[in-house]
Amino acid sequence: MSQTRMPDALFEAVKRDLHPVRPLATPARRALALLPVAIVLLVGMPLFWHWQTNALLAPRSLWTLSVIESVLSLAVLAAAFREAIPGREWSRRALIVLATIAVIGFLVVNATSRNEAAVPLQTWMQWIRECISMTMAFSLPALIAPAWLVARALPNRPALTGALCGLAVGGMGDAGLRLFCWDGGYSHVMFAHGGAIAILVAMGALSALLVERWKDPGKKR
Amino acid sequence: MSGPSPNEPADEARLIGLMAAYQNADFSAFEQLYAALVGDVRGYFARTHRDHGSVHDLVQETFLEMHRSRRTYTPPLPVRPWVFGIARHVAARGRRAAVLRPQEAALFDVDGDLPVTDPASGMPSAEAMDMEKAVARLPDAVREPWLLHHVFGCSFESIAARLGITIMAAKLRSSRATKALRVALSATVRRA
Repeated sequence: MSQTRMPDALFEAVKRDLHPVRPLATPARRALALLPVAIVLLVGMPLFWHWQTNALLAPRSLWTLSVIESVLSLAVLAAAFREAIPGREWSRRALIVLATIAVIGFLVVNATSRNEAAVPLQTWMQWIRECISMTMAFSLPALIAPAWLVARALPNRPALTGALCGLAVGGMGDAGLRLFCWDGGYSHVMFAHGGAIAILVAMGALSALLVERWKDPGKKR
Repeated sequence: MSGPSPNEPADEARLIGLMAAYQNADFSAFEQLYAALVGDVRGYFARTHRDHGSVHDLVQETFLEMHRSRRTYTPPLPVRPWVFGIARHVAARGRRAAVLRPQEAALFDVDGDLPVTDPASGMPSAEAMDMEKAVARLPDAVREPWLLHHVFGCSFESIAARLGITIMAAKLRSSRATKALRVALSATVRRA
């Protein structure tokens, strides 16, 4: 019996701090709560660019695909929120399927972008820098919200959870970016848009690791 | 550690009810949860840590973390995977603490200079060491189903769902791990 007797310190600690708590909402619901972030990235970036350069907005067919990309990104975000719950981690196979769908989705959506622009190398490089910096300016602040939601859970694989958040926010950013990007060539898409997503994946993983390392174990969630 | 109980679904339903009551600030529910789960949690750490004292600390830290993170449990999901997820988190945090802040490693002393002891008697146990080494040497693919079944008492259905494999594959992997352990441990006995 002594094996199951609760130590006094634990008894006191729990008794002192006991109050009703509301369980976290399901991952899908928490991902849906970030729908405004997806809308801001989808609509805000093209409108900002239009306001800055007076460039033409994309045709309706491109908007439809961007909406689909945003919805897929929200699904990835829900997967990240689930991964952050103890005991609900994804299997390796499920993660491979998720990553494959994300890559194929990204390539399919961007295959229908505007045509490749034949420009000098210097302009090509400049456009890559512009696309990456524009995505970062909008997406990095947007990464804070999911990172905060993940920090409220208890991820066993924080780097993976953060990377999934980065992938989701990167996808949302790309959905807006492709609507005003002048170059639809695969080389530009891979380096600029894919590069921006890769940076966000790395930033997400790094931030989740840092948050997890610095999180005070005694802090209530 | 016993295998899966024949009353596993009823037991799990009871744990789910207790967790819901605990989230509503029912202290007696926490006491019952502690009584129901402490043996399994202790068994989990006893197989991965060599010192009785650190096992005790890790078990208490797991229940404390379970208390802090109780809102991350969503009824009516199974309780045990959630608790062992927290146990894995606590163990990982302990390993990080041991690497980054050696002065904090006292709480989570996982692989150090402490004597190897049998958790039951507190006496040094060569068998415990051999078993631990043999389990550690198993390939990941077979070790996880074996631990989930023989240490945590999960059913093969839940293991299959969790690892994204078929029930038959879960049984086969666990069986292969048992055979490998038998071979490894019998070799040790012959040497002795």
